[in-house]
Amino acid sequence: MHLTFLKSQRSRKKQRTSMKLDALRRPSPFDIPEVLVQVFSYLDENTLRKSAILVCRLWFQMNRDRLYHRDLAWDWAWGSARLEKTLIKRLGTSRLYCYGSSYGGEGNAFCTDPIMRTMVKLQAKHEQLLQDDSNAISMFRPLREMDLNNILLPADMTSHFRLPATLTSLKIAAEAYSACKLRIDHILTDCPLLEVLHVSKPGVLVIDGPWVPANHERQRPFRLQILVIKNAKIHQSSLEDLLTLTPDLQELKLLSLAKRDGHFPYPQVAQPGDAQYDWTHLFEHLKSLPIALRAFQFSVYSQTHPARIKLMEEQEVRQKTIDVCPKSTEWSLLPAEVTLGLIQELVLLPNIITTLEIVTEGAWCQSLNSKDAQSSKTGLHLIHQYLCESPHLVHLKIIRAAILFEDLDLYNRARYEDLDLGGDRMWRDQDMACTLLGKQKVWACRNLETLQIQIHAHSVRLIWPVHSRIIFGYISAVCPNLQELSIYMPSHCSDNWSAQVYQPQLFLQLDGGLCFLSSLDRLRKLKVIYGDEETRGIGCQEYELNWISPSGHRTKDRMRRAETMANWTLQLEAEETLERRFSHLAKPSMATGEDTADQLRNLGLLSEVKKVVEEMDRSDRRCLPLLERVSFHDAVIERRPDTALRMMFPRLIDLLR
Amino acid sequence: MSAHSQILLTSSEGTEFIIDRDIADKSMLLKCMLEDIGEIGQAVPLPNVSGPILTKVIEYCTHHRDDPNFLSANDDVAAEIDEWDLEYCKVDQGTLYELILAANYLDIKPLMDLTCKTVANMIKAKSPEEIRKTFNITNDFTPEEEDQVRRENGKGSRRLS
Repeated sequence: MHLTFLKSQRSRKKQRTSMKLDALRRPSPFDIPEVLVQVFSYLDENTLRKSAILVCRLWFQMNRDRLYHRDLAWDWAWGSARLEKTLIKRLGTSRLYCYGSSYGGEGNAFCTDPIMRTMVKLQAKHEQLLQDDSNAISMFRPLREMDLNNILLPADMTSHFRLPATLTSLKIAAEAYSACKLRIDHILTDCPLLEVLHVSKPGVLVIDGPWVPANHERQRPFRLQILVIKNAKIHQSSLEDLLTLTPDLQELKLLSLAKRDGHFPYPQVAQPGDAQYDWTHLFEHLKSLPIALRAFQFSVYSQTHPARIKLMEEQEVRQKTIDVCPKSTEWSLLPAEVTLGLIQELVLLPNIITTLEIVTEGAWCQSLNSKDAQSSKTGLHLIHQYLCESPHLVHLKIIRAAILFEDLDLYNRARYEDLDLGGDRMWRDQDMACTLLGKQKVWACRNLETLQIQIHAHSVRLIWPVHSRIIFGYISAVCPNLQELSIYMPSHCSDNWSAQVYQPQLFLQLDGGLCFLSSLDRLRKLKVIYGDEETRGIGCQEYELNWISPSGHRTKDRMRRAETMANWTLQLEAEETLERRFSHLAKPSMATGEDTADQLRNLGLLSEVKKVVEEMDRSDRRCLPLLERVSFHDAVIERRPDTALRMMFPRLIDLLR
Repeated sequence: MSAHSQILLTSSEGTEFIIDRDIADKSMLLKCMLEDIGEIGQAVPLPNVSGPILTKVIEYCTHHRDDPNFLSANDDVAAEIDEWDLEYCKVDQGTLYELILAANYLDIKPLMDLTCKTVANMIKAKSPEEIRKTFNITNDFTPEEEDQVRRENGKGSRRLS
């Protein structure tokens, strides 16, 4: 049994002596908890873990929550028995991220039993310990947040889906083949402390039964603050009933609601049993309740009127939304909703929009389906235009509506493709002049903290390092305050001129310019996802990527990077020649700050990569000091930088285990 | 109110300091006090701050007098301390402690951030025993407790995904 708890065994005599000494010494700032908290906030996790918490009980107790509020990412395919063991060894976990395997099947059905069993056992130990000695130090962390991604829900939810009572946040993204009917009342019965609830599924998730548990005392409100329901068929009356008991609700998002079961798309003719949504009634209901919403969004999936609500004009809908939620600073849209009218309305809204999200409708897949692709083609420039005009945006989550690579390539350097062969094999001066149009604008959102985008290209094939350099260079220069960055490349793309399907790539190699991101001092989470499961490969050496971690700055790593760059002489010469040849053409006058313009001037150049890497390896400045989680070639599981590097570049000892 | 008016401060020993109003305004305590009661022409007593420490605090505020980003200067956890500030903090530990206490009492956030960052830098790369010795902290863990915390963290940090 690995579970052990600590007990204080100090004698009273020792305590008295210590108190006398304390009284004699000079006042110390360490006596003020606020000072200590501030000092600890400047320490990295390693220092806290290896040194600070071992100094004294007070320092341990003050850092316990920060250190033990730990998360565990678990692929369900690793087995529930191993999960149970891991939870016991770790004395619980505060956040659990479970990922389902890509291929469904009853054998893989998600079951909460091992989690429940283990957490209840650990909780009982913890309570017993505190009962015996209220000063005891316990390492146990109750489970507060659970994210279930792509999991196959069991058909019988009542007996196999009990949830820990300690949960405050539950996010369920059910796998497409989950045949169950989700019961909100069961979830709320199990988790009375729940503040955040997200449920979604590709296809249609049926939410059945009443939402308020039958035995619930009506005078006791729920703690729900955020309720997000996506791609689900719901009973509006059940939702409205629940809303009367959620006075703290701040965010209500009902996205792409479905009228009937089954997968999208479904027949247009109305069927008996179709859900009916009366939005006017919902608006009036919401207005009658003492709820102050910060965000309110809704949309209904309709094949004939994509993402529109019948009999209601777009403007009217927006106006009603603003009526219900006058302080809304967030908008979540479906790809089909990105229209010129909407973008103009967003700019004109009385509230400043700080969060813009474009969510999926229909089945989730890496590449855009044809309908989304068509929608996004019309919306691409509109979104870019909006970003150029919206300095206040803080969170942008538009994985479903791609950003056009050509809008990022301010100096048309996409043509510097194969620098080994001179780089400009398919470009002529007149091509250059054509592609210069519309590139004067740069995103205005300098304070962006969250950026989740998918990159597409219409006129070039994204298969060369220069394209990655342009993407990484643009983002690092234009969004210097990013905390979370996810860049997706679809597994397959087609360009306009050949209409052939190809696999676009993002380059993690040194010449791909990922190092441009080293200037993002606030970055906590980084995801760079490309290709599909069969073709996706790392394709780079450890020294080309390990600068993201403090362990990747050994002399050996620096030397190998320098050696690699020493072999770039020919490419750099070719690049210089191209620069001389085209510089008279590509001179957009950008409406941006001087610093950003300077940084962007060399966008995409290999010589700039060399400069950044040399500077990085010359100085002792820690790159990405706040980086906590990364994911490069794995679409779902995010790991600590060191762990991710070790998984990508296993040592011999790891392979022998 | 004149932009160039002066304020009289008295340290704990009774030493008087005359400073410009804009310097005094760097302290939220003094700023709020002066806004609330106005300039009454009498010395403002600061019984928790000694003369030498008040001199240091005034030196800091004077140096950052025209800093437009004064209030957010040290907000950035990852940012490095600038050269002047680094030199300013090269004082003995007792003085550093008193500077922290003064910054806390006078509510001068950038000075508080700077001094706390300096203390954090003193903790980095030290063993628990060295930290205790540096800051004169008593180890109140039992040997079993200390061993347990050490073991949990040593193993745990490697094992986590």
